[in-house]
Amino acid sequence: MSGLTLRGVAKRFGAVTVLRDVDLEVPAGEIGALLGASGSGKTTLLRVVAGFERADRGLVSVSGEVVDDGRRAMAAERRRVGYVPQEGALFPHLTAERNVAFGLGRAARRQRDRAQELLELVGLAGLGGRYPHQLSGGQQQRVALARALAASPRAILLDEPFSSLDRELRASVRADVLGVLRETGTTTLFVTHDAAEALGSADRMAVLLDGRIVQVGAPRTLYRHPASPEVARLLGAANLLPGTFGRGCVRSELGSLPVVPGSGEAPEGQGALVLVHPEQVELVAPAGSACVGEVVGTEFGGHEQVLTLRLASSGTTLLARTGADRPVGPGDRVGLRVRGPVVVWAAPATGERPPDPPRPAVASENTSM
Amino acid sequence: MRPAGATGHGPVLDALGLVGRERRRPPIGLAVVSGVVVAALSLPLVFVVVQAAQTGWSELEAVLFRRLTATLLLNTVRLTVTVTIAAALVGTATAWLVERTDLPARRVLGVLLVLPVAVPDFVVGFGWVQLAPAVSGFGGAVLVMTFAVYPFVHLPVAASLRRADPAEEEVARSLGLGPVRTFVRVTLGQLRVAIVGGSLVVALVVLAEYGAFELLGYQTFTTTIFTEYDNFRTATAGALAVVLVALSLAVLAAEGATRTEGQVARTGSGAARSPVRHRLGRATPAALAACLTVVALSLGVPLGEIVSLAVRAGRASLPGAASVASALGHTVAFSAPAGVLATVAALPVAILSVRHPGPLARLLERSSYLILGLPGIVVALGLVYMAEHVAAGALYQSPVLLVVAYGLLFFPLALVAVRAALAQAPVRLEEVARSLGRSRLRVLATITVPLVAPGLAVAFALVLLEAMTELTATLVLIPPSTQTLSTQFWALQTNGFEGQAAVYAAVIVALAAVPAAVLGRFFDRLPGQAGRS
Repeated sequence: MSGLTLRGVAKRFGAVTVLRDVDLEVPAGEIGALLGASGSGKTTLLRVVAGFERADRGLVSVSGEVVDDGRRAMAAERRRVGYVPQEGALFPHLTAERNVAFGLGRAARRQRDRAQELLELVGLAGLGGRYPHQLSGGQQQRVALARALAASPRAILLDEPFSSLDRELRASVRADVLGVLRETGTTTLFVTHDAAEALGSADRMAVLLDGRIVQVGAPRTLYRHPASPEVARLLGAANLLPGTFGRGCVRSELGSLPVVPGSGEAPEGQGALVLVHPEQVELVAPAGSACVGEVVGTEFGGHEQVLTLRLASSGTTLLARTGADRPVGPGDRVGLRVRGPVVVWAAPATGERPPDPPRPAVASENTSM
Repeated sequence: MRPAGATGHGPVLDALGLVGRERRRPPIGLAVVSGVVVAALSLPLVFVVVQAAQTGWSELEAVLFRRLTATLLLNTVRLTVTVTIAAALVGTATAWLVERTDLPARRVLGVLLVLPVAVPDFVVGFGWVQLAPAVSGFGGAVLVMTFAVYPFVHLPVAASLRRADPAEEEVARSLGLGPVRTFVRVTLGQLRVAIVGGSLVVALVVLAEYGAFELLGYQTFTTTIFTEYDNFRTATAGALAVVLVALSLAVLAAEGATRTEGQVARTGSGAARSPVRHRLGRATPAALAACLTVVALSLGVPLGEIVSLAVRAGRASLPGAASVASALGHTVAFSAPAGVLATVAALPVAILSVRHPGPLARLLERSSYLILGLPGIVVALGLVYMAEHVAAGALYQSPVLLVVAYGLLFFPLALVAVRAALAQAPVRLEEVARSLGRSRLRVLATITVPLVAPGLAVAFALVLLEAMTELTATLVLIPPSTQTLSTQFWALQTNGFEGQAAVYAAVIVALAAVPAAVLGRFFDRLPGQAGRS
């Protein structure tokens, strides 16, 4: 049975094309994540599915029923697609219970039990009498979910649902909310710009870049085999180094590295772009090491640390994620080794600019799962 | 697939090319209802023009090019320009003193300086004339009107000063500008929109005023139109009305030209710091004296004179409680339905302009503000002409016509209030409600209206306030053998019963103060609402 399907969906606002030929499928009962930078069109995509915007072209269907074919669009209120916006958007003039009851049908609204049940489901039993401003951000988000579930939707859309919460709260609210959705077998699509959120919570994820879906798959697959350097960057701090294709390997400043099977193939000697995840970089003693670097920055993260290194040979900067037990500081010289096979792509035609240096280690939490 | 019944925007709008494909198209029902409202608003203007056209050119020419018309034009323009400039100066100065200096008793003064809004201009004129008969002619008109209308500048300027980010002034100071240059180059820039907007309201009010100028013996277009109409020279009145409308619309166009899109004074979250107040130091007594003088001239003279007249008249000659109660009853009976009418009519236009911005919404919203350029006398004449020629006299001098006139005249006030409330109510809430399976109309009833309820109440209060103190259109349209507070006041003072008239004036002022107080509390609460998470 199909959950949510988009085929060739396009959307423009005036001269600005926001979505181009978007194909996306979330099988029934699964949780899909849509990852994209701000401005990539994620929210517009959700709003097209919800029925707040109409697709210019393409097909949107929910549980097998076409709700928008680019010419005619079913009204939002008839789609039975739940929508939870960023801040929850609880009705401020209604109590939590009446917010939830708003989603219930006319008959169910008369019996208070159903609303109570739903509040219980999201772990808020006993708080039904409170008004939204008397609830914390996480509680508001849970009420918003209960309200969306009350209408027994065929699918639920969440628009950056956890990004307004502070970091400690975010993880627990996310686990609870997605737990409830999994428990109730609700087809879910949530959008986020946080790679860790998508990687950690979704059954499958799609990457949206400039209004186009560039890759779809299980989080593990996407992280291991990003389809392009852009996807690799979006998924977290990534080292992208120039190299040259060799026989069954790729040569780079970090040595001759084995290539992930199925990754880019090209004739020997052709230029390559090499993806080395920061956690693949191992520190060894500098003496006798083929590759030596200098530590220029450290970010201590408790259980691990992220080091910014400058390679002695070329001055290229590199991120390394290592255990926090080894005390190193700026100025230290370390030997470097890469663990495991790497992903490569054929380098862009000559004359183009070299790959960007890796971003500073601020995005370090992104790949920690 | 199932057809999209409820969102079917229909081919009509598309065919008209009014709605771009890229815009969220307004539902057809909303567009139609808004269109009907705007069409109703344009009726008075249409009928004034139709009347002038039917009068014939030669007759129009005779009226428009006689000597008196030139005199009236000069009188009206001279007075309007002078009062507007004077009110802008007084209003800006008082607002700055109250909001940005350590003026003593500034909270009390802040209230007292705004209160003249609740005192109708004809009451102010009455007070001055009774106190000092020498106050008359051009000088008298400037004096009386300046102190009657400066709050229209004071209010927006004070609000603007409260919202403006003090950081801009601080940056200017840190760049080496002295306090005076900071005021001229930064603060005045922040206030430009408020000062210009307030000044143009003043100009429109002066153009439309009848009662005060009649009392002061100063002839303007409005007073002359009224006299001509009263003497059954309807065609002459209609011809002059066309000139008055042209003047008013020119002022309105100037206002539109200076208005900038999006007047959000602050982006970013968190409350703006309250600004550091300038220390007046040795200038304190002079500043305090100036503010007290403004209060005395604008509030003290009319109110003091009313009380003194009533007391001097003595108990025996005062009007009976029954007749006051009857006039009061009629006033409320005409004004309250007008408040409801204007508020209900404003809702669809506001929803269209806030929720479905686009060429159609812009066109309808702008058109609805045209009524601002129609003085009460013109609206009244237009409606009278319509009642006589279209409705075959059926509506002439019926209560319905008066309620409609109030509703039309004060529609823009209702629109501004509803629009502001709607802009603050998040559209997300309505979208979520629709995704929960409720139709547009149900969402309107269960989510939108409760959210904007305070705005609707303010709209109602504003229209009620203005309608209860309206004189000019009321004198023309009042049903026979009926009196409102303002017409009873006018009849009494015209016939020399100043003491009795003063009692009615006092009741009008007391009544008007109630919605004014409600409004004051609403505007105090606004920033707090914005800060709610």
